[in-house]
Amino acid sequence: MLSQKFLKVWFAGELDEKAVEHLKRKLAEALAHRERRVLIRFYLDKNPHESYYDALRNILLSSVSLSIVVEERPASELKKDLERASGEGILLVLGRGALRPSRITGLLVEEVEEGCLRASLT
Amino acid sequence: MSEGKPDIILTTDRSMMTTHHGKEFLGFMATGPAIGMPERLWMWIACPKMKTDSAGRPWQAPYALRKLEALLQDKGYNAAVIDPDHVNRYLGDAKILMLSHHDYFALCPPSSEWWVVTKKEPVNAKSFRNLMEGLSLAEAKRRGLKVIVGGPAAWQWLYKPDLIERWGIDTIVDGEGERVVTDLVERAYAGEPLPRYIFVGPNDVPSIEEIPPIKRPSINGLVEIMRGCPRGCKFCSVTLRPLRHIPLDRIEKEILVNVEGGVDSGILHSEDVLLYGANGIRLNPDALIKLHELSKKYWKTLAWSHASLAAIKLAEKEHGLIRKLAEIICDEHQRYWGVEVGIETGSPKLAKKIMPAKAAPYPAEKWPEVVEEAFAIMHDNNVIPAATLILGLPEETPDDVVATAELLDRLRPYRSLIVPMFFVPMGLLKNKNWFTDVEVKDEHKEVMARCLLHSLRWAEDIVNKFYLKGGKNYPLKLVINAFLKYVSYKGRKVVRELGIEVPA
Repeated sequence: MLSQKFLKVWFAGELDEKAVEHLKRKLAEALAHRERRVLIRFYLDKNPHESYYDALRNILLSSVSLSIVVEERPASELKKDLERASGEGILLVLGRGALRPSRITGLLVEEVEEGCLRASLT
Repeated sequence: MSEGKPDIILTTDRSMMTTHHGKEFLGFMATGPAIGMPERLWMWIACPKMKTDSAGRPWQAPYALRKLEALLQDKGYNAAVIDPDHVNRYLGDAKILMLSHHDYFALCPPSSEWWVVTKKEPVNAKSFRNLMEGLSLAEAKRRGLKVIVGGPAAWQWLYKPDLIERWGIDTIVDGEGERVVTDLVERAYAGEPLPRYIFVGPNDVPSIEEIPPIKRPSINGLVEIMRGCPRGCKFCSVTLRPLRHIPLDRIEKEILVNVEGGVDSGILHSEDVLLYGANGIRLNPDALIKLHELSKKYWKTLAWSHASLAAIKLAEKEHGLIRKLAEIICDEHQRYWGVEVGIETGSPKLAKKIMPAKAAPYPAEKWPEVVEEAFAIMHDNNVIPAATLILGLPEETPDDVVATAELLDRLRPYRSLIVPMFFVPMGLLKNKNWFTDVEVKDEHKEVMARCLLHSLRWAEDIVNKFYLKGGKNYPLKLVINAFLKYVSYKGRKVVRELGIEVPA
């Protein structure tokens, strides 16, 4: 199953309520677009903690129709991973406090912001 | 294990790795705390130790672990189910430890309900914690051991981040694992990072051909005949998965594995045994008769894991099928058979909201009548049900609970055990003392009192005339009868103190 095609969503920054809602919306959109599998990769500043799992539960409970894989990586690895994944069609969601990466081919970036959402193809 | 020490250890704690003395209903005790007796005695009754070979391989093991063992062995891995008392022997050399459980932390019903009522931690959660704390995990983790957890209670780990950290859990797999487990093993062997969590959606469940037959005996000879359920009840996750019927030749193969391994009785496992071979909910009497004839060709006794009450009524009214199956099942070796059934509510209004297809092909409005008729059919044919009710559902009103109490009164003449279960909102579970926050309303207490008195009344009859009949069960029967008397005394006292009036 893990070698199948997954819609890849990477998240960096603070996993607050707005970020959770944003990621839930991504899952709903994936389902509407008839995706079957979503991989969410979280770039974390510190080891997973209680509020991270609260957020994760909230996101996972919003979908029972998709296969979902959750990965965790240290935030310090984001830049390197982005360079390596160039052209893979990854959606990068930036939460509060995350730095916008430099231009990478084919990377779609969305920012979770106060009351509004910005998306751009870098 | 094929040769030498296993690279992949599959295990679980004693509350799961046990035969329950060959009496599945005793497994219910493993979901509660010890009551009226020392915990060691309680554990001996509910979960006696499993017989093992010199390598620590259990005689029988939970079916899910047997499936994974077969899958991994077929792919060429040195994997083995190991009894929890023997895991430390192999942990030093193993690459992967895989755990499975029905209820790791006692957060599912009926454990959760025992916890709410008694305020004591059930023995299954204690037993799992003891297993984990007794394993030499820290050293094995430093050496690179990967720990993968799964089973129907996998979701509970998301409420235990401290334990994920403490016990070094690498990956949680939620859902049917056949298509994902070998991927994880390959990654672990290659030293690649593992994902933290995997939810297997309906599109990634295995086909019949991808489900391997077990290679060694399962607990009490349990054999899967179907996966999935078409009824779509709101509170159940099985219903999300597509329906698959296991062909008879595969079922026969697994029965033979058990019989050749010395397990000469078995359990047919399905969410609704009577839907075996069915087209949706249209029953297939021929397939059911063949299934039971095949089973009884090898097994002395058999039980059903689950059946729906609507299918029981339909089977008998339309096809006289329960009587026909009784003629196949009941013989010199068995006089009755057990099954778990779901009443859930006595309120047609609530039934329509939460389980609109549970009564099908009968209308949801007729649910109480369907339940009563199915109970009467089971009583007449020596089918002994352990029935469940759900209390505290989010859409429940006091009138719905009153309707359930009234239905319970109508079920009094029928031999059965009825277990009320509490719906625990998931939001509460993250609190350490969640069981003190669950609101038990007066009308819930009334229903619980009715269930208790109904079950006590019939338990004595079931234990002495059916379940533990015969000399070899005498010591167990003695202890259980003493326990029933104690619970009866305490239960009636509590009912009186609460001022609950229950019809005599």
